[in-house]
Formats: sequence, structure tokens, C-alpha cells
Amino acid sequence: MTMTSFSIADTLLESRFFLGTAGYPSPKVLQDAIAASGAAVITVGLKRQLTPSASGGAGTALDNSFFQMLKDSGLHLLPNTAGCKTGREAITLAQMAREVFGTHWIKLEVIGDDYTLQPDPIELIRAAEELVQDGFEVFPYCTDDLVTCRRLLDVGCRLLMPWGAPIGSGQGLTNPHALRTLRARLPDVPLIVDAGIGSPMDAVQAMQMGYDAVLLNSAVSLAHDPVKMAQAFKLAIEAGRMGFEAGIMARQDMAVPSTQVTGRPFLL
Amino acid sequence: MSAIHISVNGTEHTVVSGSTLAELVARLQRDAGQPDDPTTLATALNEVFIPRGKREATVLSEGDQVFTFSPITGG
Repeated sequence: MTMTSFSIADTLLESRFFLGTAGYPSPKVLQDAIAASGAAVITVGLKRQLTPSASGGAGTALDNSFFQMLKDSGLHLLPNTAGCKTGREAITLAQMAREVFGTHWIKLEVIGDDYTLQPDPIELIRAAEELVQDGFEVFPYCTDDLVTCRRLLDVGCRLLMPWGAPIGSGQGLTNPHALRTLRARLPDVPLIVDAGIGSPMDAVQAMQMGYDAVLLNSAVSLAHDPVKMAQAFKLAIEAGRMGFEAGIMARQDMAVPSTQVTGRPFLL
Repeated sequence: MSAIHISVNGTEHTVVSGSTLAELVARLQRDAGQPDDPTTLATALNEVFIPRGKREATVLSEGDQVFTFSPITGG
């Protein structure tokens, strides 16, 4: 196991960076950004359509060759259930994703509010329970509510993906206290901050809190230079993790001199 | 042969009575100029997932709603 590797869902991953694939200027930029990120997991989706050949841009179809490239890349594909508003819809989409992408991993999204894209906890838990029983590894996109998270664990989720802020907002970690509480109360559960990350600084913050990984998309795809930003996040995630592992000093209210002196230098 | 009316992704279609979901998928891909590859999409009939292996045995009925889902980029 290398310094950055970690195990999640019985899988050893060489990176703590989960990268979304939507909204890039072109397939080439996406491909280069994936390479620069070093991500081991990338998210994908399904859309109600036949198999058009267009590619690139937000939520557009993957042409067959590009899709095949992703499947052959050795990266772990994490399909989502974006757009679902009921547990039933999400379950059906998850079943389809398992067939098309050939993975039992599913990023379970059940949206309860159009404005904030906030997850519906009731439908999320119901869907998670059924999917776990059906053999899925459920990556639930959830809020930072501790009790909801506990219920998701109760129904068989083995990891959680609380939001940092609303999807695509780039606001960073809007409620660090809640995220710290989750980390403290669920010390043995793999936790991935998903959604809301805007800058590498946000990723550092999440990783320094002890989060196991970070999932983001827009912060890279909407950057002026997505490839460079993917690399910036790679470094940020690694730096944040190293900082956490190294142990961050306790804050002090007052100055504490770091250089040992005896009184004032020239005053005997 | 009689015809039945179904919808595919919300668009009305007419198919020969007795047509299967597998036949419909093949026809849709042919009409769209796509390779005949049943693995590139997933299907649902009346909002219920129909696995690839069951498309051949799934005979379409009047008023059926067929949905096809294909991979896209996603976050």
C-alpha cells in the first residue's frame, strides 16, 4: 500500500480523488484532466436516449469509442442516479447502470429539492436498503445530518458521501462543524465529501478533517484550465491527507515563541 | 399482420404485433445509424428495468412505454 492508497468497498485505490466527468470543454480535455488528477474513480451517468454520437460538454452522451476507452482505462466507474426524485426511479436507474457499466457500485442520488438539489433522506434510505439487498455497493450522496447518516449505515451502506455544499455551487464546506461531527461520531466509516467543493483549499480542508476522499466535478471542469486544476486538486488532496496524518498542532489563543531566547538579545 | 402503438422515450412508434423488445432495440439502433450493439444501452418497459437477457422474451403490447438509457458523462 502506498502513502496515498486506501481501501474502500473492499477495493484498494491509489488515489483519494474521485473525479466527475461532466461539463468539460471537450473529450480530450476530460481525458487529460483524468490523467492529471491521478483519480482512480470517475463518475458517469445514464440518460434517457438512444446512442447518439455527440460527446463533450455537460451531461452529453459518451460515444462508443470514448466509453470503451473509459471502460478499458482501469479506472473504477461510479455511475450516478442523477435526476431521480424517488427511490423507485433511483433503483431502476441503478439496475440499468449496473448492466451498462458492468459495476455494482452506484452513487445513489435522490433529490428532494430542485433549488438546492438537497437529497431526500427518506427516499434515499429506502432506495439504499433495497439496493444493498440487491447486491449493490451504495455510495449515498447525503447531507451532513448525523442521524440520516446513521440510518444509511443501518440499512447496509458501508460508506457515506455527505455534501460540502449544494451540487455545483463551489461554496466549499459550508458547515465544517457538521462535517467534523460526522467524522468524530463515525470514526470507522469511510467518508467522502461529495459536492460543493470549489477550490483546492476546500479539498485540503476536507482532507485535514480526516475525510477519506473527495469527489468533485465542476471545480475542475469549469476551471479556465481544467487539466492544471485537476493536478492542483491532486496535490491539495495529497497535502491535506498528509497534514491530517502528520497531526496538526493545536491552536493557541496567544502567541507562543518558537525560538528559544533568554530575555531580550541585548539586554543583560 | 396488425400493428400496435407504443412510445419510445416519449415518442410514438408503431411496431408489428408480436414484436419483442430486442427487435425494437435493434430497429432503433439501425434507424439511428448506430451499430447493432445491445450492450450500449439499458431498457425499461413501463418504468420497470428489463435486463438485456430478457429483451428477446419480452413481447410488446399496445400502449407500452419503452425507455432506453445510454451512458453520459456525469458528476
